[in-house]
Amino acid sequence: MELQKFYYDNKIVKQFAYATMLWGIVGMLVGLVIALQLAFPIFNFDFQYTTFGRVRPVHTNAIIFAFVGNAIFTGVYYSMQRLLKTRMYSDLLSKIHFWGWQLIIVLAAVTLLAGYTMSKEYAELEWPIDILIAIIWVVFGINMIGTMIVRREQHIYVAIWFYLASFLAVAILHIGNSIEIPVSFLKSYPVYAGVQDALVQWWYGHNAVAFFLTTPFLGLMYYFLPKAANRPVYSYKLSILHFWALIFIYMWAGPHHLLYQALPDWAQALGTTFSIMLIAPSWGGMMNGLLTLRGAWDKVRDSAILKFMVVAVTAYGMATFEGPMLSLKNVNALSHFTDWTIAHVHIGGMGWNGFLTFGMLYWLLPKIFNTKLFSQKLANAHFWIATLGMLMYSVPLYWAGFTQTLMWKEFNADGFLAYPNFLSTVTQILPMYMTRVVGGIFYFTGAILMVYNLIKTVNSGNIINNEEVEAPARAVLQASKLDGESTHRWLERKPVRFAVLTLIAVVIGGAIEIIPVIVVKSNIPSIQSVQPYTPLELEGRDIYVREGCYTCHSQMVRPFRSETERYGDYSKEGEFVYDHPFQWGSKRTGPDLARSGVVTGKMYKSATWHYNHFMDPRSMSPESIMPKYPWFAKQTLDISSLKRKIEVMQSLGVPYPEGYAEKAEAELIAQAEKIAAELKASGIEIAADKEMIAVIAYLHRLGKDISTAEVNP
Amino acid sequence: MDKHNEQMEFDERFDQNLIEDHEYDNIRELDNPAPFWLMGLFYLSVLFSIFYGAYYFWIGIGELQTAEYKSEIAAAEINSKKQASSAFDESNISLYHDEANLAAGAELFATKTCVTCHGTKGEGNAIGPNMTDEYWIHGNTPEQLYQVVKNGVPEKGMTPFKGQLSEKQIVQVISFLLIKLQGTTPENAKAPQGEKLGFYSASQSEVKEPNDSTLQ
Ligand code: HEC
Ligand code: HEC
Repeated sequence: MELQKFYYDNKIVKQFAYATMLWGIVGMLVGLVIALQLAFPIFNFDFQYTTFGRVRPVHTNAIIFAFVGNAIFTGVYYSMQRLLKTRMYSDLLSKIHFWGWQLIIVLAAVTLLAGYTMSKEYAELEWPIDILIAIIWVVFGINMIGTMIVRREQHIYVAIWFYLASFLAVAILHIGNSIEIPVSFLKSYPVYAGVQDALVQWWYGHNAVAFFLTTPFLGLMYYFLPKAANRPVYSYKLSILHFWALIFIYMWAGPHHLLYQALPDWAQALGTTFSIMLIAPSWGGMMNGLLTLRGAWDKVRDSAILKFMVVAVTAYGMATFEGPMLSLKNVNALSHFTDWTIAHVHIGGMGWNGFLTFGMLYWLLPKIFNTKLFSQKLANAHFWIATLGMLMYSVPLYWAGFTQTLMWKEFNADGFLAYPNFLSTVTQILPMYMTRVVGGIFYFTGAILMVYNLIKTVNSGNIINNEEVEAPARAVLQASKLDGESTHRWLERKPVRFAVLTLIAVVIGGAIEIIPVIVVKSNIPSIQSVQPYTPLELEGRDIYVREGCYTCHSQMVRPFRSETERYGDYSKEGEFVYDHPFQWGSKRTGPDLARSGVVTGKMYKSATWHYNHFMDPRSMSPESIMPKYPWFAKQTLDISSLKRKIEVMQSLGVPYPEGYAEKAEAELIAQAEKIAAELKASGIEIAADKEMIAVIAYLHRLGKDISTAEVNP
Repeated sequence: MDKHNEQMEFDERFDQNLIEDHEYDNIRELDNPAPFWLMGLFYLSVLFSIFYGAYYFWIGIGELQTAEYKSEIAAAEINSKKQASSAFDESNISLYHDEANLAAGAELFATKTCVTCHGTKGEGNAIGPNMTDEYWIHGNTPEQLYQVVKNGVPEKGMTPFKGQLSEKQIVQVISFLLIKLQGTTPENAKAPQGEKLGFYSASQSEVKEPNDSTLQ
């Protein structure tokens, strides 16, 4: 057959690889900062743009979308061209994709630090950036699918199945979770409220882990591992089985983030059972990777690249076993809201994503620069220091998680909480927080070694921007199945059909869980006494969102005696119907605040207390690790979009009376003056138009409506 | 051609069942079955899920979360009833005078968050009043203090401690306040609040033993 000559685009691969390294370093550095902030609050720098609540989302987004995202694109652009024997479909689209994605990252970092956030974890970005992400993602998708269409290879390989599924699922997740109504250029409210918002968010959050951190990386594993080991893939059959099982089942497991919370029991049970059913499909990927190394284990000893990959795959196996265990109700009752979760995600993030990325970069950069890795020794040093760092990071956090959860739950012989002061359970684990910083420094140092090593490597070679290759054109086969061709094999040469089936497999789970919670009323029993927020409380709530208080505080009392004793009545579905967005949180670095407004409750604090606490938490409790917020007392509350906010809320079904938007400002001022007067009575002079007043109003509203209420199903 | 057409190495121990036409950028695939234990694990997990559904929903033996919570509370109540007393009289309280109980009171004052609002030495701060002076908002008798600590003054910022301190502990802490803290002169003492009632003069009446259990 006649050979056609064409060129692989290595330049785009190089660009994504550089971006991966750059953002990797930045993301890890930011991670170090927030680790330090928790151990020593002074690292909040008394500066509103660098408080923990704002910086933490920068870390998570930088690692997930900037570091891991660029790593995915590096690997996808490198492997896809070779697996399909063609250049990328369009150089222009590649370029738009690259620069568009970097722009998104910069915009994300700036807006998050500036306090523009939706407060939905890993989906914090505000609506204009959400739209930009959707556009760039589609550009990537067109480029990918276009490449598949112009391919010379007859069949698409398993790596490509995973890339395709990732593209489709992330598109659906991102769009589904980001449906929001703008109130101003950088502020919007999600259309979902409370329970629905939580369910949609964790359908997204869980599957961002699945389809951003897992399936693209499985695709990368299926290319780079056999390449680096020079061994055939262990089992084609296993590839098929675990691919379909994984993408179908993953989408159901989201509710495991909401166990024992205000979510209907049936949805929680789906979360638990589907998580358990995920073990085998996940391990399918791990086993196919590890068994591919049969006959190559002697190489693993010498090659840093293979060592990285082996640990990556093993970490994947560990994390995907631990995940389902954390989805069991009784385990989750202990683990949720603690550092256990943080340890868990770092096994996945540092181990699976980090190590596979490192291995891939070490393998691929010398190739496209037509040279050898500068130093195997340094790469080995990186491996060991990173492994040590990962252990020193995660082991203390597991310990911190166990310790704190047991302290939260312990009752003494008299039937009282053994540690009624929440802070004493924080102080107890501070040494673990400090050790974690050391682990982080190790891991970070390793990454610096890598960057140095790779810069040296790059300098010793010359980039092959366009790599010449020859391959025959794709033979045109009949559309229907050939004699003796298996159905799956047939599908593999029909990418559009493949894509449609993938799409069906990924939508089912989410649809079955989310639609009933939105449509069927009985899933959220209403509570008569729950009223919309007053304008002042609404503005206060938006500040709570802006500051990322949810990164440290939950608003979700679970139905355990240890929680109702500490906080007050457990949270009910019907309480949250006006909460756009929900603020349940996922980590309790500080106490739950859901009952802060119950005057006779255990959590109630006077306005004076809150004032002093925000000015300096350490004046109230010397060991507190909460950042200071003294600027609340200086900054004037911005009510310029109050009217629009009320109107948007009305359009989302919040029952403010007609024409309320007009009166809102007057009501806001009246309420603010009352609080300012109350503070004045205790000797605190503060003008009624300060942000402080709104935040206090919001905190004093939390749980108030339900403190005397009956639930009407 | 170039290095891109290097063949993947062949290991006769493992690679007997290479699949014929499966070759992508030189990556080959083997025709091995999925490990049988992995398939077994999968079927087991499906079985688990069916039992899980049956246990909680279709047969309904398992308690759902609200029911589970009620059981937990019921169990705790049975426990506390066992210890509940009738002897304690809130309208006639005798303070402790022995060092052990006063030390316990001091300890409670330091650890049960009193210090965050009343200062480490009881001097008072922006939140709570000075505990060392002769001025009282709610009265200076043991019975009055007992009520304040038990039921709090939530709207003024004083936490109710009834779920957190036992009867005995409340008496310990107010004994510490009235016997030890009163009359000390810490630095930065807050200006007086309430009425000047004088220092509480400890009556030397017989010390009763308050009962050590929850007041709910
Ligand atoms: C770094 C994590 C962190 C962040 C961010 C944070 N907090 Fe805290 N918060 C804590 C800790 C720890 C405590 C417990 C110690 C204390 O009282 O200061 C606490 C205590 C509180 C309390 C007192 C709860 C009680 O009744 O004992 C309130 C109210 C509170 N925080 C509100 C907020 C608000 C509002 C924000 C956002 C503006 C915020 N916090 C941000 C960690 C945090
Ligand atoms: C959250 C802050 C806070 C905490 C914690 C707190 N208090 Fe108070 N306490 C106050 C405030 C505010 C007042 C004044 C109430 C008023 O003005 O009516 C007060 C009043 C009192 C009074 C009455 C003083 C008077 O002049 O009549 C006593 C006694 C007292 N507290 C004891 C305690 C003890 C004992 C503890 C710990 C077990 C404690 N408080 C913990 C805030 C607090």
